[in-house]
Amino acid sequence: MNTELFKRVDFQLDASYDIGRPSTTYWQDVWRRLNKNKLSILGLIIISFVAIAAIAGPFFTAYSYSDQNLQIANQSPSAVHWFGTDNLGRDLLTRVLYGARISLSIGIVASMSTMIIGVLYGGIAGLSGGRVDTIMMRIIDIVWSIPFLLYVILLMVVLQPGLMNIFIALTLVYWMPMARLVRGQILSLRELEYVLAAKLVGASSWRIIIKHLIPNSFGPILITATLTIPEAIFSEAFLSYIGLGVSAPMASWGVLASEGATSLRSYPFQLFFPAAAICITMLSFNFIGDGLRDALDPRMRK
Amino acid sequence: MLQYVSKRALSMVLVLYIVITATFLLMHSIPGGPFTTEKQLTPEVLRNINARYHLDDPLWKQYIDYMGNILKFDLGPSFKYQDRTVNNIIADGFPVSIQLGTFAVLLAVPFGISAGILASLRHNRPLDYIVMSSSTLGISIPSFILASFLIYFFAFKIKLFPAAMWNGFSYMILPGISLAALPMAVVARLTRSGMLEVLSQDFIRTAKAKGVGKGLIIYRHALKNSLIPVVTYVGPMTAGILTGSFVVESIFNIPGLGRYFVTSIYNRDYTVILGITIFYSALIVIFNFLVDIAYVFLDPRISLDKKGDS
Amino acid sequence: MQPILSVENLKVIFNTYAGTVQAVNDVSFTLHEGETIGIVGESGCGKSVTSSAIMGLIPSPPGRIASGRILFEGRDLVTMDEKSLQKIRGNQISMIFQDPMTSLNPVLTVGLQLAESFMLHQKLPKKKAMEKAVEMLKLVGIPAPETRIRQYPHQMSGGMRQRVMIAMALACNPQILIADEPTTALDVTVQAQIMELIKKLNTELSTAVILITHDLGVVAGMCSRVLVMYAGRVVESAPVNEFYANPQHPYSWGLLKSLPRPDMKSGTLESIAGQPPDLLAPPSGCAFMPRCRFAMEVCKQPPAPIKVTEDHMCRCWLLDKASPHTPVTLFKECETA
Repeated sequence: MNTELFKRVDFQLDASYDIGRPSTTYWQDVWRRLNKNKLSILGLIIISFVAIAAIAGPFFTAYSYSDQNLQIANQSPSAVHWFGTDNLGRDLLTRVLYGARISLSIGIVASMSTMIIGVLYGGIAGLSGGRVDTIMMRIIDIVWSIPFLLYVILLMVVLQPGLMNIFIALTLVYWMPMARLVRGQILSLRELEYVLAAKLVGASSWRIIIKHLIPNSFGPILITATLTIPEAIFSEAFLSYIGLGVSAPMASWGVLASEGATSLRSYPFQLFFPAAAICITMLSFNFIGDGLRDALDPRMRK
Repeated sequence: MLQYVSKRALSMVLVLYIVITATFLLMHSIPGGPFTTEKQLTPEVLRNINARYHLDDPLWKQYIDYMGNILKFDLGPSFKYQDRTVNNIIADGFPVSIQLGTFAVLLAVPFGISAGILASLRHNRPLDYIVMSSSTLGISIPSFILASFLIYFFAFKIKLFPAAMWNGFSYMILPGISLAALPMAVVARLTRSGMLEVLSQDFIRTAKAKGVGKGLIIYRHALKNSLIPVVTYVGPMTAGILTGSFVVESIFNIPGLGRYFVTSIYNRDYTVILGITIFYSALIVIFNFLVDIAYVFLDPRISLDKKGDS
Repeated sequence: MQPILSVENLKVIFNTYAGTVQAVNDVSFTLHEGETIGIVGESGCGKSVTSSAIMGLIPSPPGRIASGRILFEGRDLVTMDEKSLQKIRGNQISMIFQDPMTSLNPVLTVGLQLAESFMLHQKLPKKKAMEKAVEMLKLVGIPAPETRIRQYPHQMSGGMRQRVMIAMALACNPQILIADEPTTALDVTVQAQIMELIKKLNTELSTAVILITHDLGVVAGMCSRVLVMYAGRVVESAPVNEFYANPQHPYSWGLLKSLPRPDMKSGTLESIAGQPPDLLAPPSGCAFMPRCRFAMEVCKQPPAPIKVTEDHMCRCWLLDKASPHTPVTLFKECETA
């Protein structure tokens, strides 16, 4: 055998062996997993489509959502009226598109406002700890024991139906899960060793909040905020169904479905289109929420 | 144990007291009082009505009277139906609602748990995807839409089940399914994720190393652990079936408490709204209490006295 | 004498999103009745995967045994069906795991978890099995076993739980006990007790033991043979005395140098620089080459196993006939320098 081969090589620790593989940041990893989840991507695409339709759609239809024309009442879907017309002769497609504006904005506004209130409330409770925390959480505990929808119904009875009041009622109730989540996150993160380590090296409270608490609780907050949207859309539809929704001639999907249900036997399409809009939108948001949960859950990280 | 129970009982009373007070104040804060929507009431008639229902008393007196009556389990009269009390309405409607609700739970829990177990055992295989997508569908379809479609297909099109009313078991099936779909989906998802988590635990490996077969691993070593999150869902599930019953009972025209509640909302029958809300709250608070106790029997790591402190 | 267990050219791979990991590659060894062998190596070198493969507990997917045989009493465990494997597991071959805190089911009583083995393998009724469980707890030195069997794992200390794990593993008097780092998660004082217990049971019940550890000190006290694993391969295997007196692989030498010894007067302990290679893309030649201070050009090609003596094997190019150096001279040179 060739003696050349047995010459000693200079011993030099190859630095590249210290790093097992190219490191990916947490959010790159999240994105990779979310991207792999075809259903969440489908959900994202559908939601974008519904949002664009809600914003731009009404400009392209030839009808107004409120113009009544009894001569063309209850027409089945046709080339002229794609989704048919309702019992007052209004174009159902136009009404579903306008309904999308209302339902989506209820979902988004409710999600945003509950997120702000919930993060503030939960953050204050979690960061102050002690008696403040106890009192703040007891308040939630008490409210929590009764179904949220019951509160929303009671609030709507008092506030009277209307779009603005729906925002208020939903916000007044649905911030609580977010507050609980944020407080729980802060409490558990504060106990983690790397936060203690940061404290030991002298990081200030603000630095710990900004560098550790916010980025680490961002994932769960995002999931909850995403899943609040379908919850709010559902609640609004529910309220509309029992006569506490937005007032006529405005119509959310819930109102349209509720109107459609009354003529279910003769004109099922009047229920079908708004119902399909609600279900597809809720489904898409749930897909996105599930995908985010799987992608963000560090325990699933492989 | 006794210490915990008494502590929980006390907090139950506190919660109910706050809920009753808040609801009472909320209902009395509606501008104009309960009879303003009625047309053409002469001031005199209005005054008579107000006197009859003690609405001319100062608020604090009305409140004390109401609280006193609640202690006697008397929820007062209905404003709308002169000859009926809230107690009458609950006595009429609740038995119907509880039948429907129980039926829905009996549909949701066993089927949900079985579907969840099957999905977890076939993780990332077709059956798992089928269970997961149908359960996502289940949590995405509001009960009133599902109810309408069930009526359309099973009552109008193939005439298999009645579309409305309450006259025996066959009348229970469509509303039962409408109510059960959501909790069934949630139970399936909780069971599946619970099973998946438990099956990846070290103690499952230990059981396998002992030579325990697949069936026993699931039944003895995994199921109990993975049902713990399902038990925590029992409270919210009851609440969900309860609120779901509002619309489902209305759609199917079932004379249950949920429909009476919705009717009272349409009629702005404030004493009935107030009374039924209090009744529901008491129901749920007591139910949650029972669930907490059941929890202890499932998870030996939880001791009641410790839990009461946290 | 016929070995009771012989592992032949075992290869285990895991499919991950980043590629195929060769967790165990071409591992062979034998185990005789009543013998104790030690498998040592750094974390991730394939020790635990080897033991899981013997138990038939490789999580699949993503893992699978790609090739090789595991012969137990002349039967190949790799191709055996699940039902027959279940009869062997916990009965003839059993295992103790690293972390007693998570290895016991929190919602079942200790007694039931112990009695289960008797119910499964000896078909005893529950009552009889519980009595046997009490006996087992007594054997592993748990005081008041009659009350202990009704307790849940969270009511016991870590050392106590590991004793329960050992009792569980030994319940059916198995021929082979695999102990996967049985003391890593325990306090130092408890560690010695647990090792003593395993040693005692090994001699009393003549159970063969595969001890997986990274503690060479424990190996010296307990084992008759040592297998050194590196990056999924056995790089050296030798009787324990031979190994300590005459290590051949630079990695073994490094491990031994990093071990504190009573005869060491002064000086610092050495460590092996660098980290084990990424098993997703292992070096084409000797996996230890990047960290080896005696590396040669030829080390870029995979080394073949070479017999130093009849039962001393080593995979290193230094032992090749063509090599100008032998490990022993190099180690000497290093030690004096």
